[in-house]
Amino acid sequence: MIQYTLKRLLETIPIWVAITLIVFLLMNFIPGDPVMQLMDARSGAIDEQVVEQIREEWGLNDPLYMQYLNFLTNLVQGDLGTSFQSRMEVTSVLLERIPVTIQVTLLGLFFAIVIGVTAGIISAMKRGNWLDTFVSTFSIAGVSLPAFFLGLLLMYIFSVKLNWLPASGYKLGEVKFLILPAITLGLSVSGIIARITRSSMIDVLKMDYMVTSYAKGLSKYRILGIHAMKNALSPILTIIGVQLGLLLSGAVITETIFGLPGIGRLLIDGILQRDIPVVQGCVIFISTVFLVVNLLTDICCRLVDPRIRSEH
Amino acid sequence: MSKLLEICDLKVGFTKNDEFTPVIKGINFSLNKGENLGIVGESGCGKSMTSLAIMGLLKHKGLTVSEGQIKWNGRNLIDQSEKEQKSMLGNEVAMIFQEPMTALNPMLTVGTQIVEQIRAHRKVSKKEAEAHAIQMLKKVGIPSPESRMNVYPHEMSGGMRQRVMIAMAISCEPELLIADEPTTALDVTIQAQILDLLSNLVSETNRSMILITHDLGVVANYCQRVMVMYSGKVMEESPTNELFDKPLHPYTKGLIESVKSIEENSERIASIPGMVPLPGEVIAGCVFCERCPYATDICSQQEPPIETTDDGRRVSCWNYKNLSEVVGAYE
Amino acid sequence: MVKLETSSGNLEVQSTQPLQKVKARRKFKISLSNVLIGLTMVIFATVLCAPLITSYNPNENDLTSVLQAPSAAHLMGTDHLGRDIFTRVLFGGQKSLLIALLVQGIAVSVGALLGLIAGYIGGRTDKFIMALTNIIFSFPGILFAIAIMAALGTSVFNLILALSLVSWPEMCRLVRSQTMALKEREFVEGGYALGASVYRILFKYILPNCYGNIVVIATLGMAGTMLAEASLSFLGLGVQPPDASWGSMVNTGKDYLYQAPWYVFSPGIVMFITILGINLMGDKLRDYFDPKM
Repeated sequence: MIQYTLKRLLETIPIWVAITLIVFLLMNFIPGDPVMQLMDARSGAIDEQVVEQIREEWGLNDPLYMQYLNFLTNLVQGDLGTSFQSRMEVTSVLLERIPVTIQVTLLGLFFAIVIGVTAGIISAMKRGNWLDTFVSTFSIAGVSLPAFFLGLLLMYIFSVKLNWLPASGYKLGEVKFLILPAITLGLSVSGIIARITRSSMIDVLKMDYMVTSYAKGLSKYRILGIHAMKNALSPILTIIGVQLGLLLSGAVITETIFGLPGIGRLLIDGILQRDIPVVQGCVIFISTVFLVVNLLTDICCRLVDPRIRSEH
Repeated sequence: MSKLLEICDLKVGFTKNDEFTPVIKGINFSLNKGENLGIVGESGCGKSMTSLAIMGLLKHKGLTVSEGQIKWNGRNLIDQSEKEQKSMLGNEVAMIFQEPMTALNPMLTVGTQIVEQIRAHRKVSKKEAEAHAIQMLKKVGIPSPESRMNVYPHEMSGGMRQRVMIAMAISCEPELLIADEPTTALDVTIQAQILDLLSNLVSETNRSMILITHDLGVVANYCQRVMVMYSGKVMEESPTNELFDKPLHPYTKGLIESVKSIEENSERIASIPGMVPLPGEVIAGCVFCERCPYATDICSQQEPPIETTDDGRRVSCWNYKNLSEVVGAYE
Repeated sequence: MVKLETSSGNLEVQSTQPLQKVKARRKFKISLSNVLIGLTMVIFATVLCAPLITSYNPNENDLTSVLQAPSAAHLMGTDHLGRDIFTRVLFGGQKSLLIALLVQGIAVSVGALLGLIAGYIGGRTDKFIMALTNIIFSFPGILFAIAIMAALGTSVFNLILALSLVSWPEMCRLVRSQTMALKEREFVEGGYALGASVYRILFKYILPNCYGNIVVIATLGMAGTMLAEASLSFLGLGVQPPDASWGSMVNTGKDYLYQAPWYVFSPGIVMFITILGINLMGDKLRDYFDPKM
């Protein structure tokens, strides 16, 4: 098991480096000279000498690979550079925004799992029944409904019409601002989770040991909750891991709609203001979290299966 | 002797595209208390379906009972409630499956799987259930049972796994054990051990057992009575000794001949030509007619009724009285 | 005898399946999914014939009729600049549809080609191509597309480029795994024996056998692309104003959610039905090509 973890970790590191390289190169494509832009933003007058000085200072005159190596070394030390706009450390800006995004994402994940797994189990149990058809339709509709439209739909119903929840804004510690964004995120991925849960459960329900568990006269809860669920868990965990990534990138959209000061908003604002370090930081942060989560789910999947766990 | 189990005119099948395909085409038999009944037949003859029907587990295989009754101590099981069924399964009737590797849940320890069954039927604490489970494991001859409680099925050998299945099955002291090919998936050397264990456990407590197998040799050693099935029908039912001495049905005869020829190492192995009909295949007359060396005109036209002979045996064949006249039909 | 039994069993299965398919094809049921697929077809047709159907100019402002509710003159009402929303939905749909078709065209060509190469040659080439797909899969959701759009700037060309870059890996993986399975099969080995060239084996023997799955993945991929395009446009990173696109219409419309809900809902609902219809079609195709799923 430890060997497997190490192996996966070693596989993940080059992918992470590749991601940072791609992001770095992409950001170099951004038209316009960052220093010039900065100068533009500051005053209006451009002093050639000062520009040159800053370029040197920032290492912008180095060859590209040197710039990347510098960037990577700083990154490993947790330094993502300084924002062009606010002149603040990108890392500290990120740290300030992370809690909001994590709150929304986790709450969204919670909704997604509750709705998705329940619907998937019901649909697998009632295979061919109208409930199954309903869940299938629901899950395909979930995949087809753009998160931004779903968000606006919910906002229209619950904020504009019913006036139950605030349409946008955020206040630390107040859950009411998070509910609509979280439901938007949760619903938009619960379809896929329901689908995978259903097919995984159907596979498991066909197994001989399920017949055994009925033959033993166990309670329904035990048969489904323990015997079936334990075996169906791996694919469900995997898809949840993948969906967490979708939730994180979906945060870009929900945070825009609901005006939450999270990383998604930071990214979009960064793009609009051409604030390269901020954009870079957000993209790398979200991708890294995604990578780590997938690594963790892979390991979890192995941990839940005693057949693999005991392999050395 | 009182009847523990009575099967009356049971018909089972599956529905696909609104079409009903029968798998068991109307069978009757009964089981007395303390009796071991063997059900024999080639694969696909419906013997496993019969056991699943008794357990009420057909729906999990996509099958349904279309007609007939299954009476357990006089109570019809077909229309019992789910709750009644739950309290009966694993408690009054327990089943041992063919493949212990797939029949045990790979994600749960052996101990958990036995304990949960005990606790489903007995109001005992977890500790008591565990103690009882250990006792059961000891009873089925598993060495150092305490440590085996925390072991997962894949960490055991096939024979040990089947012993666990047996321990689980007897843990609530059921009146009837149904063993569906309990040794088919095991090494030959272990088969006899498992069967001995089973028959000891059964006779020890005056339980009943239905032993489903395709191996006539097994039946000869462990069952008092044998029912031979073919294509979802009962061909013959007799006390074991009489069946082997003088098989009434041509199919039984063919099965016995093929076992004998293997045991005697004869150069040519006697076999029954042809194959078991596929489910859904419509056969006019006797289901065995096509493969039967004794078949006469009537066999392909009219279905033979099941007749009870003077000495209480049952057979479904038009010509069973004339069988002995044609010698060596299978050689 | 056992062998005989199983082979005859297989024969049975093989001979009954085409029969069932014929049955399924003949029996057309009016179900919700069929209605939705039909509706999507209607949307496609309407969108493609947009200039024939509507007389309004999608980008012409009419400040005298701003934010009007749906009426006979304006089927879906007007937006904040007095433009006819119905017309803009049609023209926006045209754009979305064309972009999605182009992107899937590129994804299929590039993905299938690289998949064939990776699966057929194997070894280092395979490892390299798979590493590429792995890296793209390591970006969550549309984040990669967002990053590309941020870097390259917003234009329809860049939009197609970004979406294609995100779409090809899935196709590539599918074709690769199929190629790997197919190249061991008798008929391909027969091709070797006949002295067929690599080109012939790849494009005449292997590729035609992947068509079914390619069609399924491309259809589902098209729905995904439309969704991604709409999301990017919604974020202001896709189709730029004044040009209409479903995503950007919802984006500007969201500011008028209180006064003019139709501004958001008209393009939103059309978009939802279209994507849903394409997804349902993909599902149907999957059932058709791979009935065991």
